[in-house]
Amino acid sequence: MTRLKFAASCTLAVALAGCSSIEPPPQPNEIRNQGATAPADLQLVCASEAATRLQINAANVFPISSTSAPGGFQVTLNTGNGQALCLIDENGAVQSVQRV
Amino acid sequence: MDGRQRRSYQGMVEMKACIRNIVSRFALKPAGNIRRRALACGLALATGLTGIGAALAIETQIFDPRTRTWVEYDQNRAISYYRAHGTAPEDFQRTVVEFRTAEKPGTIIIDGDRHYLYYILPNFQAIRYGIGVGREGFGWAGVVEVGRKQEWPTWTPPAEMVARDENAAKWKDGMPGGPDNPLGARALYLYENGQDTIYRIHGTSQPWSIGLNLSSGCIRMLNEDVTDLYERVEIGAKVIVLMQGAALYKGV
Repeated sequence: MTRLKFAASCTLAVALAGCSSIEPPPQPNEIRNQGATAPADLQLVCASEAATRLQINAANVFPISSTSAPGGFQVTLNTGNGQALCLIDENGAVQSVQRV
Repeated sequence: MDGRQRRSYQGMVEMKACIRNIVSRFALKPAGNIRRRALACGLALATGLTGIGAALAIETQIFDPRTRTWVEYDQNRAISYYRAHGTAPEDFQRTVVEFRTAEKPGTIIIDGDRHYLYYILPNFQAIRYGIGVGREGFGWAGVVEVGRKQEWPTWTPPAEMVARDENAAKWKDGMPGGPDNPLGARALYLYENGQDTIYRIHGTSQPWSIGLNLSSGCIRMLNEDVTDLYERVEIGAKVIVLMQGAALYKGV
């Protein structure tokens, strides 16, 4: 195979691989949240898991902010006497909880 | 009362109630000292500055099919959309969604940033409704409960509004419930420890405002949606309100 054909094949392979990760086009009048806060259910999963892992009364753990993170979201929690950071993926699996 | 006056009334009603709430929360004494109240409000605002900054970073956008670009979903665009379609965007219309939570069915969860209210159903599902929420500086968060509820509630303008505005003065004894009433078809009154928080989940005479941050803290719903929710919700139902950069927290 010539170098040109090899390069073309590689380029095509990369392009096809990239096609699988392209998001579907937005729908007319679709709504989105530019600030990318975590969905409410994921915020509450974080709060519940943080209470368990940090051995805190669940009533004292409350989400106060969130933002997107690689593979999911980072949720900041008020723990009553401080804060904690929770990393959670888009499927709702908590990756980590750390006191701040 | 024309449309512009109704918009003014609805916003001013909620603004006055929420300002009173902030002052009562932080003021040392209930009456008189204007300088102390101003300091209290200033402290309240300063406390929320970081939150307000965070809140400003969150913007609701809509995909414009004509320009094929994402644009801010602001008041003008919302009014234009409503006039063209007669309803809110599809993403703000009532639907059943998956919702992963340990909260029991019957609980209400409000995502103020994304403008959704969820009524929890069994089997990790929820009814999702579009909502309007408080504008910058008037957002709040926390855990409260439904203390009471009312069909076609009466709206009573605050004394300050009655004294200043002759159009409000005629309603000083209460504006009867109806399609022009700012509270809309139904109201769920939110309580904390048995006390009225002055916040409500209510209908609206401005259906185009769903998806926007316009109120003074209350949660607005389409009349048909709040009517649906009203029939489902029980007195005492837990209400969890999530909002980034909230200026005020209740029950936490």
